[in-house]
Amino acid sequence: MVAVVVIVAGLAVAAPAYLTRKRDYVAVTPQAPTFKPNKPAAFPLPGDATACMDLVAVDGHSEQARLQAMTPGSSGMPLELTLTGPNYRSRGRVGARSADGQTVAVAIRPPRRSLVATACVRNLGHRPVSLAGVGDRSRSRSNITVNGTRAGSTSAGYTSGVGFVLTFYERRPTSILSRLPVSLRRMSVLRPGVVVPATLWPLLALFVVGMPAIAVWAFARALRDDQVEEERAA
Amino acid sequence: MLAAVIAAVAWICVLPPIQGPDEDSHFAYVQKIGAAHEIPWRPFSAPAHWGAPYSTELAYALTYGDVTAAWANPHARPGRTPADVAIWKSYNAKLPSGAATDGGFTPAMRYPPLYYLYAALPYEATSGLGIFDRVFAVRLANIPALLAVVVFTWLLVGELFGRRRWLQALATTAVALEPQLLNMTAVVNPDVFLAGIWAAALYVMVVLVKHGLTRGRIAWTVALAIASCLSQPRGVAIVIPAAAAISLAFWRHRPPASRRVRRALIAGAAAVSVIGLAVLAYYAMLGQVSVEHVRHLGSYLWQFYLPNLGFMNSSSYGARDVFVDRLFGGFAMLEVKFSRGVYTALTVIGAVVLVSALVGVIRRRADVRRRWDVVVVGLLAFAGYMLVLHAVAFRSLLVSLDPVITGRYMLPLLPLYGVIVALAVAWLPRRWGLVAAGALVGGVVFLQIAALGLLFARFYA
Repeated sequence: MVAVVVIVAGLAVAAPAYLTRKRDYVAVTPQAPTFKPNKPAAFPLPGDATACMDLVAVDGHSEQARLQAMTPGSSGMPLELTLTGPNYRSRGRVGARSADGQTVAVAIRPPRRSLVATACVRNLGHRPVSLAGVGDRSRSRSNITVNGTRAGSTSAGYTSGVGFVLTFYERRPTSILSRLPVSLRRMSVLRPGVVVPATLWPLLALFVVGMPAIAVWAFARALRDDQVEEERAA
Repeated sequence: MLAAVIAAVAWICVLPPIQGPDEDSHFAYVQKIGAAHEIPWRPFSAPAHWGAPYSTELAYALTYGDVTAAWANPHARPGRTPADVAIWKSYNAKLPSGAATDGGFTPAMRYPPLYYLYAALPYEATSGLGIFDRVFAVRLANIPALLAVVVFTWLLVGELFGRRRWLQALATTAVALEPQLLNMTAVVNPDVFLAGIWAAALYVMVVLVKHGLTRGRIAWTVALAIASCLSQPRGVAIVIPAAAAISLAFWRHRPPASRRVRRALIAGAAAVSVIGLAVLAYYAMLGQVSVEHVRHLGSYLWQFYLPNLGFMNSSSYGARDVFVDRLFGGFAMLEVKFSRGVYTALTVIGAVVLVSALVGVIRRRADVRRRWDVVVVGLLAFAGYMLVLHAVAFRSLLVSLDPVITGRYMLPLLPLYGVIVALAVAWLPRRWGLVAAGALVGGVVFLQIAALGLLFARFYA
């Protein structure tokens, strides 16, 4: 009984906030910032130049692209982001002013379905700018070019060079609860064929309801066994 | 057991492939055995020319599955869309023959091969499937080891507390749903395998000391000790309690007749202990014994368990980090953590449980005096294991400032944690004991749900 009270009370306190709190929701991260937050590399982008990143997996939730400015001061950094994939093209602009280290968001039209795209960032200004770059373990699989010249590549499964930070988020903050079906679909990616939403939903129910019920039942059963044993001994 | 299996499968599904601590390195070892039929064990040094660490197949999976970029990086998400699968598959289809066997040397290949030989079985069984399916299969193979931890904790507590099922159920639930144990069950890594061996060994040792010597019990103790040594370098520590258990079983059940022999044996045991400690200290100091190193070692050991005394060089990593923060948190590649407040609450609860267990020991002092040999085996299992960990950690501190000891290293001692939890409530008046046990069971279950919730938010929110 006490065990049930503790579990129910704990879930009653923690679960609503966990499930319904609106949070900044990541869609995909073609190139996330480095895992060492104090050590971003710089990705220089000359005036009028275009940097491109291939193998960008985007999906229907990729509504807002984010880049990170690293140009010192608050000088102008007019940028244009273009995403192109099979039967898909979307373009957006970054405002002309952005402070050093600031993350800038570009609204894009998400594709109807998941697809492989190429993302290009064009410096619309004449002065060079810098984007946050990643050249360490967090460097993603994408090949990087600047004005068509290879700046970072992936060969034989190993990456080299520096990529620029590019992540995709949902446009509005949303909750874990509202994205549960999407999350279970994502959980089935790069897993065996049996790990699909149809099996993950029952597993989720088993974990949240079945596992606690079994643990409490086992404890109660043990207590009952002890009582029977004591009565028999008496 | 069923609750543990459900939790284990859930963790295995939620934790994306190859996002556990050093899972890449351990899987590369398994693949070398499973695909190349070669045991790459190099205990003392890396080969001179070891080429690329991973096989081409594994390197492609890590890179084109967007696995590596997400390691310990809370901003990153590993491959999670059908487009990610398409990218990985398109490159995977271009792999040359022999792409699964051409891996070089990874740090895990310094470890002995028993776990990897075991893990190679599910690898072989699924060798016709994709690499991510094989990772999943090898992870699933950790479940029998998890169940060994669960079953032998139940048996150990039964052996120590008699047929008090509620204490067995409490201790077993606390161990079976311990979050780090489940996290590591979801990872290709020898830690849970080692924990299973230790759980079985602790039970057999207690039976040996309590019920006397039989060939079977001695053989099991020796076999499990060898298995531990062949699973992980840390597993060598089992030699200490195993040797003590066999010696104490002889002492109690076939005591030497002469007083002189008894004294000689005690002196011999003391000499072996002193020599063993000296060897460990020598190893810890990289063979450079000096006043400075001895002082540094003393300061490190003191500060691991107790507060800094002001004149000591500051050490920021201690018992709380290992026994609380990293044992009850630090999932995936350590980046998934509870808030400080949760760890503080767990520290307070842990302290209350520990004090209550000590009271329990004092109240059962007659039992302790009668069965001092069982207590000695338990204490030596803990102290011996910690000594080995400290020796390795101090050695590492001298070279790289890495404290090395982390929460998952404590998994072999989990059955003793179960015993402490049982001790903490066993002495309470029945009514209060049941209330405390119920609260602990509820708390453990809630913590388990919260831990997986945290992991879920890390990768899917």
